Amino acid sequence: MHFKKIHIIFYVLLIGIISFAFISKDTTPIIFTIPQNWPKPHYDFSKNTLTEEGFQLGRNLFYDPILSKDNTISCASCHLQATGFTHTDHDLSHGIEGKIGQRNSLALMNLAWQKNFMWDGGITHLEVQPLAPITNHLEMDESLDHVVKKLNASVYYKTLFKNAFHDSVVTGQKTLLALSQFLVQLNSFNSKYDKVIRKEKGVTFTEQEKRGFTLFKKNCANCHKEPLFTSETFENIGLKVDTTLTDLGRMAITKNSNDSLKFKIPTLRNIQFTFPYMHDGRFKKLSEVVNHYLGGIQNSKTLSEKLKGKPILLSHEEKIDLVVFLLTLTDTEFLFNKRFTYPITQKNNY
Amino acid sequence: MISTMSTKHVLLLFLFIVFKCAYSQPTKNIKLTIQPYFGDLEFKLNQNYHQSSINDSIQIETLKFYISGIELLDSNNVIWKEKNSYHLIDFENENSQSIQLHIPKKSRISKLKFNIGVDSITSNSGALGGDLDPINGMYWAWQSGYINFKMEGTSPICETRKHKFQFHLGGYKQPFYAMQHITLPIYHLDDNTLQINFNLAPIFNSISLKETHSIMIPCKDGMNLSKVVAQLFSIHAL
Ligand code: HEC
Ligand code: HEC
Repeated sequence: MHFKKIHIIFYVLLIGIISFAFISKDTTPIIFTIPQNWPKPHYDFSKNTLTEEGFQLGRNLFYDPILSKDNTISCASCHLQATGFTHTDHDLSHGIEGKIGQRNSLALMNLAWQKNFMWDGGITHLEVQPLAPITNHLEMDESLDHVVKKLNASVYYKTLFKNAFHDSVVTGQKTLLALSQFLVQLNSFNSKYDKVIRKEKGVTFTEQEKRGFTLFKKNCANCHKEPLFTSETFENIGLKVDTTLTDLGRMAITKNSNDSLKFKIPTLRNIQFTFPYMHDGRFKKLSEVVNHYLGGIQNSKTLSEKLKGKPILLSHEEKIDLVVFLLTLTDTEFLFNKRFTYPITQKNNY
Repeated sequence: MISTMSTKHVLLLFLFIVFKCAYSQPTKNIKLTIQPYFGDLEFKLNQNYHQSSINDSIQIETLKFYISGIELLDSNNVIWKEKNSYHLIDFENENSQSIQLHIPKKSRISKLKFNIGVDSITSNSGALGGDLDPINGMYWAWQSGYINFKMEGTSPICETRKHKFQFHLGGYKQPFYAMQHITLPIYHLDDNTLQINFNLAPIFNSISLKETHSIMIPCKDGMNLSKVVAQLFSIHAL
C-alpha cells in the first residue's frame, strides 16, 4: 500500500514535470507540410521549432528597415511578395542610398529545400543568409551587432522576442532564427502545374500547355528539375560575359577555374513575375530567355555539357508553347497569401 | 504485485545512485589563461611594437580567435574533453582570455589539445549562440563559415590606405579547411592555473607586410598563415 502510494506520487510528479515543461512554453506550434510527392527538405527543423510567434517575429523583421544602417531598406525592398519575393524592374538590386548592387536579386520560395544560397552558392545555410544583405555596403550596410542593439532598445520587439523565445533579450542567434522561420514558410506549390500533377478535379492543361510541357521535359527539365524546377548544381549556360561586371559566379567561391561562369540553377516557379532574368537581369522577357537557349549560347571551356551537344531547335509556335507552359508555374495563392504580407501590427517605435 | 513494484523501486534507486555517483565525481577547477606577447614584451592592443625584421613598427587594433575542442590527455589517452567547447578569445575583453575547466580531481595530465578555429560541422550549423553568435563579427557574410583568427592593425611599411593590414583566416572546406590542431606537453601542472603563451612576433617574420597585407577569404595564403599561427602557442614554463 505504502509502496503503491509512492509509486503513484512518483508518476504524478513525473507527468507534472513533463507537462510543465510544455505548458510553460505557451507558443503555438506550426506543422511544416511537405507537398505530395516532394522530396524531404534540407532544412533541419529540429533546431528551430516552427511556432506562430517565431514566424510573426520573422515576418516583422523581414519587413522592417531597422535592419539597415539608416533605417531605410528592409528585406522586402528587394524581395517583394507580388513578384515572387524578388525585385522587378531593376537588373541589379538597389540598396542603401540608392547604391546599386552587383547582382539581380533572387526570388525567395521553397528555401527549405535548398542547400546552397545566392547565385554562386557561397552561403550554405539559410539561417546565416541574412548576414549577407545586412552587412553588404551596397545593400543594408549595417552590422548584426548594431541591429541587435536597436532591437534590444525597442519595447515592441522585446515583446515579440519574449513571445517567440520566452526571453526578451535579443541576440544575433534569435534574430537569425526568427528570420528563417519566416523564410522557410514562403512555399509555393499551388500553381496550375501542381494541381494538374496532383490530378485535382477540374484542372487540366490546355493542348498548348501540354505541348509546352513536353518541350520543357525534353530540353529544360534536366537542369530545372521538377518539382522544384531547380537542382542543387551550378551550370554555365553560355551567357555572354558582361564586361562591366565580369562576374565569375561559382569560381569566386571555389577558386576553381572549372567553375568559372557557373551559376546556381534558379527555380522557374512564378517565373512570369520574377523578371528581369538571369544573375545580372539581362533579359526582360521569357521569350528572350528562350531565344538565348536556342541561338545565343556562347561556347566556352566551362559551358554545360548538357548544352554542348545538339542545339535546341524550336519552331516559332513551339517557342510560344514553351513560354505558355512556364506561365502554368504561377502560383497566385502564394503571391497573394495574406500571411506573407506586410504585418499590420508593425509600429515605428524605435 | 507488491514484490514487482518493489523491484522497480530498487531499480530506480539503483539508477539514482549510479547517476549521483557519476555526477558527484570529485572535480577541480583549472584556469587556462592566454597570455599574449610580442617577442619579449607583453602584448597589448593599440601599442607600437618594433619589428626588427622589417625595421618598422606594428600596431594591432583587433585580435581575436577561436579556441575549440579542448582535451586533456595522460600519456596518450584522452581523459577529459570539454563539452560544447568553443571560446572566443578577444583581446579587447580581458575576461575572454581565461577559460575555466572543470576536470576530474585525480587526473594525471601530460598533454593539452585544442584547435584554433571552428570545425566544419559547426561552421555549417546555421545560427548559433554565445561565443559562436554571428554578432561577434567572426562569421563571414557572403560566404558561409567562421573566421578562425582575425588580426587587424597598421604598419608604416604597408602601402595601403592608412597603412592598414587585415588578416581574416578561416574556411571549412577542403582544400582550404583552415582549423589548426595544437598539442602542447604539460610537464608540471602547478595547482590550478595553466598559462598558454601566445607570441605574435613570428607572424611578421613569416610574411612580408609589404607584399601581403590583406587576407579576407579562405585561400592558400590564408592556409599558410594559419599554419604559422598554430606555431605561436606554448605552455608557460615556470
Ligand atoms: C539591396 C537588395 C537586397 C536586400 C535589402 C536584401 N536582399 Fe536578399 N538578395 C538580394 C540579391 C541581389 C540576392 C542574390 C545575391 C547573390 O547571388 O549574390 C539575394 C539573395 C537572397 C537569398 C538567397 C536566395 C536563393 O535562392 O539563394 C535570400 C534567402 C535572401 N536574399 C534573403 C534576404 C533577407 C532575409 C533579407 C533581409 C535581411 C534580404 N534578402 C535583403 C538582394 C537583396
Ligand atoms: C544546363 C542546365 C540548364 C538547362 C538545360 C536550362 N537551364 Fe535555364 N538556367 C540555368 C542556369 C544555370 C540559369 C541561371 C544562369 C545565370 O543567371 O547565369 C538559368 C536561368 C533560367 C531562367 C531565368 C531564371 C531567373 O530567375 O532569372 C529561365 C527563365 C530559364 N533558365 C529557363 C530555361 C528553359 C525554358 C530551358 C529549356 C529551354 C532551360 N532554362 C534550360 C540552367 C539551365
